[in-house]
Amino acid sequence: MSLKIKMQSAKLWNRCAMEFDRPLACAWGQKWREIMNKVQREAWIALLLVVPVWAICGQLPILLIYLEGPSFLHLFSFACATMIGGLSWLLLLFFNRKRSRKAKIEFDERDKLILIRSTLAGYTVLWIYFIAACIYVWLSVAPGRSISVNVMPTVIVEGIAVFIFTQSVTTLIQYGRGAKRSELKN
Amino acid sequence: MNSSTIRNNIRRLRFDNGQMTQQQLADRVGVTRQTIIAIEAGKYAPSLPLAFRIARTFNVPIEDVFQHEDSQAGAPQQ
Repeated sequence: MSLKIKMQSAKLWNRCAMEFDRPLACAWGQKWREIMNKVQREAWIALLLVVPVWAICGQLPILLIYLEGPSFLHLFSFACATMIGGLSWLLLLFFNRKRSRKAKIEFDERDKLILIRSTLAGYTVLWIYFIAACIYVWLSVAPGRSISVNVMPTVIVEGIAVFIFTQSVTTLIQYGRGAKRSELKN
Repeated sequence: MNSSTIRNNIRRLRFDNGQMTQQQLADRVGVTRQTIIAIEAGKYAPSLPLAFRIARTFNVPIEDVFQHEDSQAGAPQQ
C-alpha cells in the first residue's frame, strides 16, 4: 500500500515538474509559443505576474487608508486597483477575440475542458476561503464586538488573488498531466 | 471495478501518411499540437467529432484509429 502511495506521489511529482520546468526551457532558448498553449501561457503570466502584482497593488491602498485614514486619493486608488484587477479579464477577452481572427488555432476542446475544471477548482477554493475568513473573524472577535472595516476589502482583494492563483496552478497541473518529455524537445 | 482505456494508432498512421508532423495533423483537424500530443500519449480522450475528423484525415475507419479496451479489476459477479 505504502509502495503504491510512493509510486503515485512520485508520478504526480514528475508530472508537476514536467509542467513547472517549462519557464526554464523558455529561458534556455526554446520559443515560448512553441511549447505552450495560449491558456498555459496565460496561466504562467497570471501565476508569476498578475497574482504578486495584484496582491501588492490591491493591498497598498488598504494599508494607506489604515495608516493615514480615508482620503479621496486613497479611496480613488483603491477603486482603480479593484476595477482594473477585477475587470481586466474583460480586456483580455476583447484582445484575444481580435487576435484570434487571424491567428492559427490556439484554443480547442481540451483547453476548454481544462479551463472549466480549473475555474471550478478556483471557485471551490475561493468559497472555502470566504467561509474560513468568516469563521476566523467570528472566532478571533467575539460576536458582540466589532472588527475593523479594513478587513472586508482585504478579504475581497485576497479572495481574487486566491482565485487566480488556484486557477493558474490547477491549469498548469492539468497540462502537466498530459505532457511528455518529448514535447519540450520537439 | 471496470477501467476502460482508449488506445490509438495516430503515431503509426502519421508516419504511414508521409511522415505527417503533429503540427500538420493538428492544423488539419483544428486543434493545437499539445492536444495531439496528449491524445497520442493516451492522456486525453478526444470528443467524437474530433475522433471522426482525425480518422477522416487518414482516410481510415474510426476503429482503425481508436480502440476501446475494457479491463476488469476484480472477479466478475454472477
